[in-house]
Amino acid sequence: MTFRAEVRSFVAGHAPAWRPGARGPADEREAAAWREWTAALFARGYVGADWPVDHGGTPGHQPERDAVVAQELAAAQAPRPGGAGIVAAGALLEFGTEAQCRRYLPAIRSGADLWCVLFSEPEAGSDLAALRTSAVPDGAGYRVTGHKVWTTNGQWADRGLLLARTGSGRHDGLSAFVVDLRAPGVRAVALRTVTGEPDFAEVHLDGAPAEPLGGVGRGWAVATAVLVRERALFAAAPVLRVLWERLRARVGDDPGTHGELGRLRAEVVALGALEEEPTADPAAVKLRAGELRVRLAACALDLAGPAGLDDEELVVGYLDSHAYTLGGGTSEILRTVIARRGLGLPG
Amino acid sequence: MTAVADAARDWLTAGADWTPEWVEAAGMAELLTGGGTYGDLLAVARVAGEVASPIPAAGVALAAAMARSAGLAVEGLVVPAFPEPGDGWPVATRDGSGVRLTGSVAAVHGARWARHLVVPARCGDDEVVAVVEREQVAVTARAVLDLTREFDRVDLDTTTARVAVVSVDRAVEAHFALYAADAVGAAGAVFRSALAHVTTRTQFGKPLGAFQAVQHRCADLSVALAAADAAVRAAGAALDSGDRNACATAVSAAAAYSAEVCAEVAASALHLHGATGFTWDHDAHRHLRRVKTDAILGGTARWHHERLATLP
Repeated sequence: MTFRAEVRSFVAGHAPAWRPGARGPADEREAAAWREWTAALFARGYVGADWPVDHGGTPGHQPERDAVVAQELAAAQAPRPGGAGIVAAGALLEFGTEAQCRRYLPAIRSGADLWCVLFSEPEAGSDLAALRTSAVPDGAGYRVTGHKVWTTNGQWADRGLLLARTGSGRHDGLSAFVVDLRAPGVRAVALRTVTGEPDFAEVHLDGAPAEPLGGVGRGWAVATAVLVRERALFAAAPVLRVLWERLRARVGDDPGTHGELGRLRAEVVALGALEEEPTADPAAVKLRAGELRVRLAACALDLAGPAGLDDEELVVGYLDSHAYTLGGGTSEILRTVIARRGLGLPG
Repeated sequence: MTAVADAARDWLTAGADWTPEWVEAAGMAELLTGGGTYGDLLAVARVAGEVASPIPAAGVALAAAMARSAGLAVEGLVVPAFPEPGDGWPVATRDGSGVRLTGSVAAVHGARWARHLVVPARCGDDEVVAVVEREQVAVTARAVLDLTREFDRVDLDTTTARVAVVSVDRAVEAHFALYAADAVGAAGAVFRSALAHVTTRTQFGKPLGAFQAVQHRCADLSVALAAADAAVRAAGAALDSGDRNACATAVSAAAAYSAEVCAEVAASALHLHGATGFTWDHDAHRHLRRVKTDAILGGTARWHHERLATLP
């Protein structure tokens, strides 16, 4: 059996089944299954294989296998292992101390700790550096106070990777922290998305204890690395291929739809080709994938006509697709990044 | 880019006053039979588009390889004369001792300069490759949209064709992909020119490229172009794999996507040059004409969309 076939069969047999389009568990039982799923993926070396061997990485790790796993998880729309655990682990390995890696990585591998990313605030969305959550020294550590929002799985996470202000400098006044979300001074309230699912949360911090990660004043570097890693971690095209195949199966052989179906397929195939190029700009892939997802979902609803208006998969898919042009950098921010950094146009 | 592309760029750039003999001397006919891949073939087509070359370089390589695989000898400049999808294929009929070849091909790049034409045809239930001498067929020059290449209509009614039964699937797919690759090269060239223009042209006291409306349009165009380029490379890889379904999907996706996206890139690039871009003396329209011609030949986007909707 090829590695891809092995991963596909494992994912099909073990991935927790969430409601259509859900990004998080609905209850404690689903959360427990999510932890087990995370532990199983790490145990088989499907994720975390790229970590140092001392921390559980796979000796002789083959990077091309990471891409296969990312594609298969995406195609199956399987839950992300450990929430933001893999992203947090990347930050710990790149910026953390050896002691921090020893403290946090084992619990990510075992599924004991689910993580979330605490970056956005009500007044700091696309303009992340405008954030106001403050961190002040408190003997051995820091205390953080502020209000974070749009935190995916904030209500389920055990730990958070936090960006907070330690000084007045726009970028060098920012620092990264690890926050224990079960500690006093932390209150997470679920927020419902447009689909009605409680998929994200707002997190209120009131003097909660926090541990610096990567040195005071280096928060912007940590945040940038996290966002880049997040875009690289999850393949975009495989799920679009699955969505297109489902759309075709639904429509059946109606010649009146061929033009639209064919155009969408061409775009999905071209995006897949772009994503597989080693030199592809992740911002370009993310921009194109987000917009294509919105169009695919809208097309599915349009072609179903009045009969589709109470079809849960179509309705949830349509509404939820709009997350992909917002989360992880809005399309507008990505266009500006591509124009300035990629094309060298004046800022 | 590849060594093949770099070599092709040097050679094609030097070939403004080309002759059939010059193409022959360069060994373009041996590209595919001499160890080159379909990826290399598309790289040559892409560069031809980029430098707006008048030479049917990749076509020569494809036609020569088809004749070789069919065991039919050719000499001098040899170009592919492929019908557009939707047009009927030429028909070969065994006629006593010889073969009669009839039909027509709407647009053949460089037919007027060729010694031989390579034509896919139907012969009863068989697909065949036919080779005819250009002097035995009617070649009519067409004044097409594109000013950088010469296209002719070819009408066939001859008993002098030589034919061999051999599958032409892959060559037909490759021929579609040549136009996609050419479009990517040509659209990329005019887009880079537009980028240079918006970086230097100042209005309202700052470069055009500092305005968000211009930046976002450029970002969209560059992403679309990168995806079209990747799709063409993936089509090359699929052609090299020889897998029939993979070829059909990858080629039609590259052809449909390039047709729409590259035409939009070239049109927007002309627009971004401002009124200067609308003048005869500026090269923008030459690129736009070439790209739009590429978009229509080798199957329109509409034809490839229809095919993609039903391919497995």
